[in-house]
Amino acid sequence: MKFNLIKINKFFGEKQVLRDINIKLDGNRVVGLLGPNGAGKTTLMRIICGFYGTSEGAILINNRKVNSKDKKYKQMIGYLPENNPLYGYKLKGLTNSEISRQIRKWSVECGIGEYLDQKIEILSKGYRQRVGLAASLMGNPKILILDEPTSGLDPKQIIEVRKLIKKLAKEKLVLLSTHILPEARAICDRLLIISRGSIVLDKETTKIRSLEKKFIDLTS
Amino acid sequence: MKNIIWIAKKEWFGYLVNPLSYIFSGLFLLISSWLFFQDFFVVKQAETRALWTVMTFLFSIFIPAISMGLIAEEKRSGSWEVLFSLPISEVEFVLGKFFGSLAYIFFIIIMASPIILTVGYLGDPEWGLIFGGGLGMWFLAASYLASGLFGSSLSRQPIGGFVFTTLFLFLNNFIGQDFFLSKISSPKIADFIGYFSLNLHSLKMSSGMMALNDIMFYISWIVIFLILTVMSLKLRDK
Repeated sequence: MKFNLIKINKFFGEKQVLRDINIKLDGNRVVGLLGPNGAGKTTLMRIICGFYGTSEGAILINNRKVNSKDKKYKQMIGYLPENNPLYGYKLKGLTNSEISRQIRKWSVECGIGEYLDQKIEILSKGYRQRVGLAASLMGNPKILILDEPTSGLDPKQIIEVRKLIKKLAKEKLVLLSTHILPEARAICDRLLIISRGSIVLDKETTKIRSLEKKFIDLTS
Repeated sequence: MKNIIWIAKKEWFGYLVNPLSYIFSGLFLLISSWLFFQDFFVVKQAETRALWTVMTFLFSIFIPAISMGLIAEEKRSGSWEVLFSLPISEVEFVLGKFFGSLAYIFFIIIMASPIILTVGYLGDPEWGLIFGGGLGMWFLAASYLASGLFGSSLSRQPIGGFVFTTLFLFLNNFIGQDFFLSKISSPKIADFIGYFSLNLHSLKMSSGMMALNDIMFYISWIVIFLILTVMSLKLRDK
């Protein structure tokens, strides 16, 4: 699947928060979005998931222009925000039998099969994150957007969630934002660095030699 | 339609499983019964107009408390970010929230029926008047709720929604009071201002002067405030 963002600009009032964002993604892989605080990562992710519209520019899927507020488009997207509130997978337009089937499937995939009967409040942060991930996978979206998916997890949980993301990327396009450079290097196939609302680097991870130095040079 | 029903059900079940909503409705009934029966045995008239007056007053505090978190809480917790990444429109979301909460308020009004049955048992009331008053109450509550939903959409903190709606309803109640309207020299202007008081329309309905005009006023009020709520949600993009 081809997923392209063409000349995306976003204004909030007079303030421009995204400038001419051009991203061309193809196939199932993990794409990392890196940037300092306030660079525009979350705004860009919110545009892709349909929470915000664009001020200018277009989103293309398989070279066809789509409206990010459109219900059909939203059915293709799974979104896990940083603070992970859980909300209605039933709104994804699934039938009851399909909901049961997918709950079974994604709970096993995300390693929460044995916790299905437990209340979310008593689960650890790592398991809550898995529940959020499973909820975002309901409807089997083609594009998965994860906003800092390992934030606040302990090292063991981080390793488990990373493995899970890698596994999911075998059949989905995963776009994740992170502050942690070693994490980006460990799980992302391609990296985008965003600074002051513009994409300043777009490269395959293996082709970036010193990520830390490059990040500081491009974002300072 | 499916999405509206799902949101409304979620809201309704939220009230059912929350012990606070039972305490809330119990408190509402306790206060309204106490205030109503305090004068009922003194006046000795089998009518419920005093009950509607008491309920109007209580609604202006209880409904902002019910509506304050409807949208503000979704914003505060961040769940609206997930919600609007799902295939649901702002209109469906607002209607679902409105009808789910309206069902709870309807439940409170229904629970007040033993008070009315007591009046019927002790005397011989005019049931047409009681029906008109009950309908007026229902429309009044729905209009308060629509205003409260809008108030809740303006803030990220539920308390902000509560303060806005309570002040707004207080002002709306104020412009319908005789002591205010009598101070306006032009009767036409007084009529015009008084027309926008939600309470005056329900008072008319409870005194047997039920007109399509009043019902249309309430429906228009509800629609306008629901549209304002949708617009306020869409403003997140600006």
